[in-house]
Amino acid sequence: MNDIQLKNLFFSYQNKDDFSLQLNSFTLKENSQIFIEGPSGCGKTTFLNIVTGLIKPQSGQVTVLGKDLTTCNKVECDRFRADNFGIIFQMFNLIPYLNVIENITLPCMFSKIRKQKTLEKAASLEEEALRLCRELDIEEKVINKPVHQLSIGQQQRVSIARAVIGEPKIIIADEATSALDNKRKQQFMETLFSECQKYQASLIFVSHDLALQSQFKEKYCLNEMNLKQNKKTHVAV
Amino acid sequence: MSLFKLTIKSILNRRLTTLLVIVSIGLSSMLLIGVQKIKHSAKESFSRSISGTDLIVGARSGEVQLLLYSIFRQGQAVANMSWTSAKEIEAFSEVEWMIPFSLGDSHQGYPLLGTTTHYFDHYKYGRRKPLKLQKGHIFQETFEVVLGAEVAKKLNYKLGDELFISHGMAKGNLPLHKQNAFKVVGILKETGTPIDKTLHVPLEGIIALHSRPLTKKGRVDKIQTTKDGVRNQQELKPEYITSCLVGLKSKFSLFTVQRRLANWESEALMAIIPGVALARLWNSISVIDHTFLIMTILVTAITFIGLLIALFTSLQQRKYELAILRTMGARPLQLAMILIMESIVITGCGVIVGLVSMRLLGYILTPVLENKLGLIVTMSSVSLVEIYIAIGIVLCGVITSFIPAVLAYRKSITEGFISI
Repeated sequence: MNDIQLKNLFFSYQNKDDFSLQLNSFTLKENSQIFIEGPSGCGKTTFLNIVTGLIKPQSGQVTVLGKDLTTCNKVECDRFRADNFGIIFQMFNLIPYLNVIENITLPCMFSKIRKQKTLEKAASLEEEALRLCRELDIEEKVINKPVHQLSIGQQQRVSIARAVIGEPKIIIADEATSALDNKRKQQFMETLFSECQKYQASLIFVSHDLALQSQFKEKYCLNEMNLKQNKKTHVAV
Repeated sequence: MSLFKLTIKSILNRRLTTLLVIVSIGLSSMLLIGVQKIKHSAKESFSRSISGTDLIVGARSGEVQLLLYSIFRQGQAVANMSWTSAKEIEAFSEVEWMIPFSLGDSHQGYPLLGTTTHYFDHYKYGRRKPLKLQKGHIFQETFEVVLGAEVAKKLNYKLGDELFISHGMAKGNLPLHKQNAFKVVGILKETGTPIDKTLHVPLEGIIALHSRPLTKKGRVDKIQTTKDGVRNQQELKPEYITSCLVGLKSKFSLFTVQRRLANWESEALMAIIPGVALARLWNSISVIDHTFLIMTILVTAITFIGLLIALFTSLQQRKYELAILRTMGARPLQLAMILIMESIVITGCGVIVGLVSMRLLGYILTPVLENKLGLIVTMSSVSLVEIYIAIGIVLCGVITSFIPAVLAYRKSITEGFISI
């Protein structure tokens, strides 16, 4: 089964005449790891918004894990996203006033399924968060510290733990390595791959850093995809 | 972790701003509750001062003026009424009782009331509460005095003590009626009315004081004392009194008696209904109260504008934080709820700060208000008005938070994945 299937997709913003996203076909196979690149403004974020159900295309089909998101209402989309997507942001975007454990367990606050899955594995959410910390080499002495006191390396691992808790089917990493040096980038990529494999999650890795694409079997250039599918589309670069 | 815990953690993350908003709401709440409390206490003090009296009769002057000097011991009577008229009124078939009041003298600033023993039988205050003695008995002899609770407490008088009366009402060095000392024979229980500040003496005592020479070379003392010490009561009949309280057998005759006294031929009299006069007096004072209340409401409104600014600033600061939550699956309504809960917590804390400050300030200011204004402000319990104000302020906080909450809701719907 495919995790994501997009067909004849067209999206444009009401207040942006010079931008539209048009994809005839896109497929993300189960347990696959893909790299999507493209210059700024080519529609990477719009693409992620569509596959996670945050925005709806004007036309086309968006099927994620067998569910057509274009027919779902907003609440259903939010619930679906919370249940099935683990997200790693640029700069990791941890909530600064929460400690490590609270940041890791945050997705379980919005997803009953992920909470349930976590509690099937451990006695409590905190216990599972601690297990993930151990698994990702997050030292015990920092787990009750506010996240802003953590090193970049520790923040990376916390953001991965937050994405994988409750075993979502799809992990999205959006420009997750843009603020890291080469050594840290490599460490981050290794950990991310290992965790996705362990929890059998598909990975969509979005970046404009072409140096990373060699680590992926499947690579997409959104700008090319967009242009290739529809020559008339103008993409602001 | 619940949404509420997340809200609390977020508030604690912005301690200083939040603290300032809480203090500002606290001060506004304190002001609003304080104004209402003082107004309530003043109204309570006013309305509890007299009950069960149908008419107050005095020389024709102003309605409020008659009420003020007869009941609140404030101001002076323009003219007296004759004792003959008072006795004639007492003899009306509609009248059940008559209490004469003779005012004008004082003791260390506390007013002296010359009256009869009827006063202790018929005078009622609050919800028709009778006067009760905490010590001793009511006066039986001419130079005996029954003290109001506050007079005894403040001047530290006990039964058997003797005191002298000053001529006039002011607190300064007034000529003393030093010929006769009044013996304290009774102390009344506290009433929370001007009675607590009054010295009660027999009407004859007042006559006796003023009939005796004021100076050694002055008038000849007409008062004779019998061998066994009992004064000649016949000599002590008053000619004039300040006013009198009248109780009727039936309320239906109220306006008949009032009209009859308005047309009194032998002298210009007026009879006022205490409840009506109290309401008029309160209305004339309440203009100040309304002005103060409007000012307080304006202060509170400004505080809520402050809260709104704080919420907007926090919304701006937390743009990414809310976007992260949204991307993780938080629904727009949940994000709006975070802001609304934040406002409830802040205004709730503000109200608690206000209530606590009001209590603390109350304990400091209550004695001052009692001493200077005679206002008894009760601080011991939370009144219904305070509860309404507290709920009202929290509701205002919720309404204020709707604006940023709706903005956050809309923004979270239109904006999707964050890309920094």
